[in-house]
Order: sequence, then C-alpha cells, then structure tokens
Amino acid sequence: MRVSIGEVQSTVLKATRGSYMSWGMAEEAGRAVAWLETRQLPASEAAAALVEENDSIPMARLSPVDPTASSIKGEGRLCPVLTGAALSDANPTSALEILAVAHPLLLVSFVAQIGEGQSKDFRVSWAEVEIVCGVNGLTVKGERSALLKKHASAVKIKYSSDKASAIEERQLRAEVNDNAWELLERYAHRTYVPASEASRLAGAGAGLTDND
Amino acid sequence: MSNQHNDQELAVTAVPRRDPSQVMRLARIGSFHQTRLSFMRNLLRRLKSENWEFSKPVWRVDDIGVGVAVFLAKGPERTYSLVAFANDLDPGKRSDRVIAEEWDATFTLFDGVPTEEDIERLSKNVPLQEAGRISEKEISLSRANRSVRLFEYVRDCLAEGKQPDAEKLDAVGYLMRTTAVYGSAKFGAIDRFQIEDRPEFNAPFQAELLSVFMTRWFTIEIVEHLARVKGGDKFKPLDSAIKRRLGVGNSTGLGMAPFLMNHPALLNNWIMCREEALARVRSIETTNDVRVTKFKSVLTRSIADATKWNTTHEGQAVRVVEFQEDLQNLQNKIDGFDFSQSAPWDQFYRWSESNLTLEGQEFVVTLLIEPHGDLVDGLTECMAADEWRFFRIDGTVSLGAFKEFYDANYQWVSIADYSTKDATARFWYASEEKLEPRVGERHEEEGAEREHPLATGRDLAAMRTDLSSFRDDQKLAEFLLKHPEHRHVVRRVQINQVHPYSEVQDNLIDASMMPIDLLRCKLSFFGATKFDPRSDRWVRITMFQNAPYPNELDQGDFDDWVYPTLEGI
Repeated sequence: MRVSIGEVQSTVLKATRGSYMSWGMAEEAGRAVAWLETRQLPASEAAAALVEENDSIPMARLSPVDPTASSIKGEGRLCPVLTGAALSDANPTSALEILAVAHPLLLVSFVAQIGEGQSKDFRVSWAEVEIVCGVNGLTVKGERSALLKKHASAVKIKYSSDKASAIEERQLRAEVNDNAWELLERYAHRTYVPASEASRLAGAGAGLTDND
Repeated sequence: MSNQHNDQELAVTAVPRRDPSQVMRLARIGSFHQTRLSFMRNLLRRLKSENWEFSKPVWRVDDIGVGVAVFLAKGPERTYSLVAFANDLDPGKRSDRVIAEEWDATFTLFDGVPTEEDIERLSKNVPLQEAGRISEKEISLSRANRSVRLFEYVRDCLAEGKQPDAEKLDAVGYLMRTTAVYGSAKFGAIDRFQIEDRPEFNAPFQAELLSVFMTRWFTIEIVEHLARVKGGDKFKPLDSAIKRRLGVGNSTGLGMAPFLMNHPALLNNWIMCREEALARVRSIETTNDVRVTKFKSVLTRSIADATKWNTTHEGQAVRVVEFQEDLQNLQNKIDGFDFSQSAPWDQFYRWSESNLTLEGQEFVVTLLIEPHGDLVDGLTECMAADEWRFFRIDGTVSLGAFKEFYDANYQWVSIADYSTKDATARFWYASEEKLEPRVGERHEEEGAEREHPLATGRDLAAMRTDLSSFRDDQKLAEFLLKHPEHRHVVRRVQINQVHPYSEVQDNLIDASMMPIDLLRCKLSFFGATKFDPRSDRWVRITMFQNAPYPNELDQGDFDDWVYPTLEGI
C-alpha cells in the first residue's frame, strides 16, 4: 500500500488508540511512525505488530518503572512508544540501556527528538543495528530484518562522537506492507462508532438531502 | 511563527491585543466575519500581484454535460491545474451531504500540467471521491453539486439569450456548491509539509482555495456550455456584472470542528494575527481622510450587502436582523463622529463593545482592519504553523510551575461542573459509516467510550484533580508516567504557554454547545460570507462571491471585492 505520510500518522494514531493507548500516547505513536517513515524506515510494519501484541493490555504494564535509571526496565516487555515518550519526558543526559523492549525501531524517533532538543547526536544500538540520530539527522546501519526485530534484550543509548548524516530528501510516500496496513486499519476501526438511524440523521446535523 | 517571535516583533502597540479570555469564547468566535487577512483575500492579492495567468486548454464536455476539463493557473515558478470531471447526475442522487456517492462535478488540483495518462488515471478515481485514490501529484480533492434553485434557471435564460434576474441570483448566490474540499494527505494527496515551502502555499489553505477559485470559473463554463447546447444561435453568455454576483456555495458540517481543536498552534496564529491587526489599528493616534473615506465606503456597501444575507435558521435570522440594526447604528455613529480626535479607531471600537451585539462588534473588527492594509497585510505571513514544533512535552518542568501556569490561565475550565449530565451531554466521535466527525448524545446513545479528545474542559479538570496529589517539586515527567491518560491535555497546556489563543475557552460537550460556532470561526478565516446555518451543526456559506474572475485580475483594484460596489446592488 502506497500512502501519504499524513495517512500513516492518522492511521497509527487511531490504531494504537484502538488497541491500548490513551489519546495523548497514541499521538506520540502516530508522530513517531510518521517521522520514521519519512526517513525510509519501515515503522508502520513495526507498529502493526505492536498493536496486535499489546492489544487491550493496560499501559502501566508496558511502561518503564523508572525512566531516569541507567538501566531501564519494566514488569515485562516494554512498549517502545510508552518507553520512548517517558524517556523524552525525562530528557536523559547520560548513557543508558533499555532492557527487554519490543520493536526497538519505534524508540528511534524519541531519541532523535531528545538529541534535537539538546543539540546533540545519540547512538542507538541493538543486535546488528546501529543508528546515529539527533540534531544532525540520521545514519542507519542495519538490515531491514534487524531493524524490524520484534524484541531486543537490550538497547543501548549514548551520546555519539560521530555525527549523523543529514537525510538528503524526505520520502514523499510510505510503502507499507499490505498486511500491516490492513491490520492497522482494523485496529483504527475500533475508534469509529457504528451508525444508527438516529445518529445518521442527527449526528451530522441535517436531513439526508438538501437540494437547493 | 512562535508566539515568542510574536511578542518580540509585535508587542509595540499602545493598545494591547484583546485578552484570550474575552476572545476565545464560542459565542464570540462564532460571530467572526471575514477580514482582509482571510485566506481567500490573501490568495487573490497574490494572484494579482504576481500576474498569474489562467487558461483552459482542455474542454471535452459533451452535449449532456459529461466530460473532462482542465484549467491552468500559471504562477511565477509553478503551474497548477484544476482537473474537473463533469457529470450528468440523476437529480434523485443530488445531496449536499458528505455521505453522497455521486456528484454533478468532481475536481482535483494537480501539481503541474497533467498528461493524458494522468487524466486517465484521475478519471478512474476523482469521480469516486473518498472511494478513489489520488497521489502525491495531487493537492486537493473536491466535488460540487448544482443549485437546484438556480442552475437550470440560469441555463434556460442564457439559452434564450436573456440575462437571469439579479434578485433570483442573489437569493442563492452560486450556481454550484462544494460539499467537501479535501487537502493535505487525504486519500493519498500530497502532504502539506511537502509543499508548504512554496511561497504561494505558505499561508493556510491557499491550495484548497485556489481550487475553489477555479471551480467558480468551471461553474460559469458549464452553465454556458449547456445553455449554448440548448439555445443554439439564441444563446448569450452571462453578463460580467451579473457573473460577479455568483460565488461558489459550500455546505460545511462537523468535519471542520475537530480540525480547530487538533491544531492549537495554528488556531492561535490565526486569532493572534487578527487580534494583532485590531490592536495596531486601535493604537493609531491620528488618522487621515483616505482611511476614513475607505472605512465609510466599506460600511455603506456592507449595509447594502447585508440585506442579501438570507437564512432560514431561526437563531441566525434573529442575529441577521440585529446585525442590520447594528450596521445602522454604526452608520449613525459615523455620521456624527469626529475622526480628528486622538485614537479615533480605538474610540470607535470601545463604543462598539457597549452598543452592538457580538455579531456587530466582530464586524467592527473587520471594518477597522479594512482601510489599514499597509499596516496589517504582512501578518498573513504569520498565519501558518508547524504543529510538530510544539508537539514534544517538556517533562523536566516542576509540577509547581506547571500548576501555577494552569491555575492562572485555565480558569475557564471551571465554568462547568463536569459531574452534571448537561455539562457532559455530548460526545465527539467519528462515524464508522463515513469516518466523518459527529456529535452524539452521551447519555442516550451508544459509543461514548470511543469519543475523540475534544472534551477539553472535562479532561483538563480531571488532570487538575489528579495533579493535586503530586508535590510541587516533582517533575511533570513523573506525573505523566503515572497518568498517561492525561497526556493529551498536558500537551495542550504546554502549547498554550506560547500560544495564548490556542484554546476555545468553553465546554465543547455541553448540552447547549453550538458546533456551528466552531465552523463559523474557521470559515471566517477562509473568507466565507453569507453564513446560513441549516441546523446547530451544519452551515451553508458562499465563497468568492463578488470576486473578480481569473481573467479579470489585471483589471483595476479589486482588493475590496468582498464588499460589492453599490452599482452592482
């Protein structure tokens, strides 16, 4: 599916809301995925897997216990959006690691945001992936399969001495795997209210025709 | 533009901007009128000053009115094309509503000049509207229906070589009305961030309104085409003075309301620029004859134009009568007014606050700004906003500081008691059927658990209650970790710290809430006129009425086109 970045943002917003996030947190998810997709990273696919895995789980069980710790962990596997948002709020200034986090790719935009705010670049790494991001842009080393890893036992985040390279041109479109897009739309659908005859007439505020 | 920027650059007026607590009430923003800062007027100023050229290279419409047309707008750097698909719609299918599935005409604004392959691709998608897909080559997607009252009448007049009756034209104001104009990223269209660097699209909604401006041209072409087919040799084209009286209609439902709430920085910039313009004018110490003459002329023309403001909506009809009285009071005030006194415009504004209705007071804002283009037109460059710049929450602030700001600036939240049924009577949602925003009755209908985050007052109050159990020296990050359900309103509060006009300061789920107030606010910034509510949540308007047509932009000074000349009345 070839979609606009705005469609990515609004579909992920609704899908994460439909699955397990509050509106404010779902806004973070929509922005994070749109940010990554404009930089050619397959974040919609990660988001689709995430909403399925975490469906209806209370946010508290997916959040870090203490996002200011040097070794951040949760009760179980962390949600990368809840963790990324908590990290952004805490605004870390020293090296840290995040243990047992799902779909680590989705952490990256939050780290980049922290880097931009501090005018610094950060190095984010897990398994065979190494990403430098922040004020200078983004440099990605890693195969697609490694970027889309479902789970990382540890993600290391520290200031980078290498500068990230600026992205030349942002993507005009996102190419999203059809299955992933359908899944996101299915969860997004949960935010819609089915029509009744009464709501059809009253909800939008007028009769069915208005020929003038 | 950030608010800090505003304060540095703009806060030099003797009279300050009106306070957000005065301005941001539903009743007042629901009384806004277009001003010279409105986006339609800004667009036409640009098209004229940059000598944009317009042409119609493709017109392949058959005798029953089915086919395709391409209209070009060529600017200094780029060309845009309105690709129009004309349809012969079964009258039974003609509906103003967004839930329709077929229309008299459908349109897209194409980035560049379309090839035959592009037109072929678009012909399979644009007529389907929401059910089709467009691409990053397209900027907007829209459709329009004919006015049953006017279209065939005008066609028949022209076919017989006669001009239509001006009064009949004025009773409607348009040959066709759009029922939706979709922009940024919708249904596959290009994202705004990819075109906002182009000077012609930097101000808000310029691309969408360019498409509407060209749609108005299409409505004339199609009615004349069908009249020519019908009348043969007897056909005569529309007289240009009569043509001017026709705009493009629009029916706007709730779709626009959540937009304002979801773009707080943008809303702030629109309002702040308008308030800044007013403050600049009120701060003028002495005025001159040129400005006074212009001011009087616009008022006189508005008095005449207001007699053509038709509405069958009970509430609005009362307001229109009061507005006409307001205008008469204004006229009387002006007749004896000493413009040589110091700060004359401020005196005038102050008088309006205690003598006119809200509808009249806000029109005085329009009037005062009008003769001061040299002082205020530059503000239109500050009306766009990058919401993402202000998206990130600063979790490092202390809760003491956060509460202090909140308590000083969010007193409006406590105008309602959210434990009562009336204060929570409504809920905003998206319908499964058309994915369109709706307002439901919380205590009577199903689905409130799926409500959208527009219940700002209620949600802010809940956040404030939970804040009370945290210490002032704790960080906002700690609060958000425990209460992710308050994240959306915490963000609103932080955005408000640098955007004082970002919040509509009313309870948007109250039983008495009128969604049309939100629509009217947004539409006034577009430059719409003749607000004609069809209910409390749906409004009909006219766009570009009395504006020059593309081929008339180089004739004379049209900047005040929105106020029709008295000869035309």
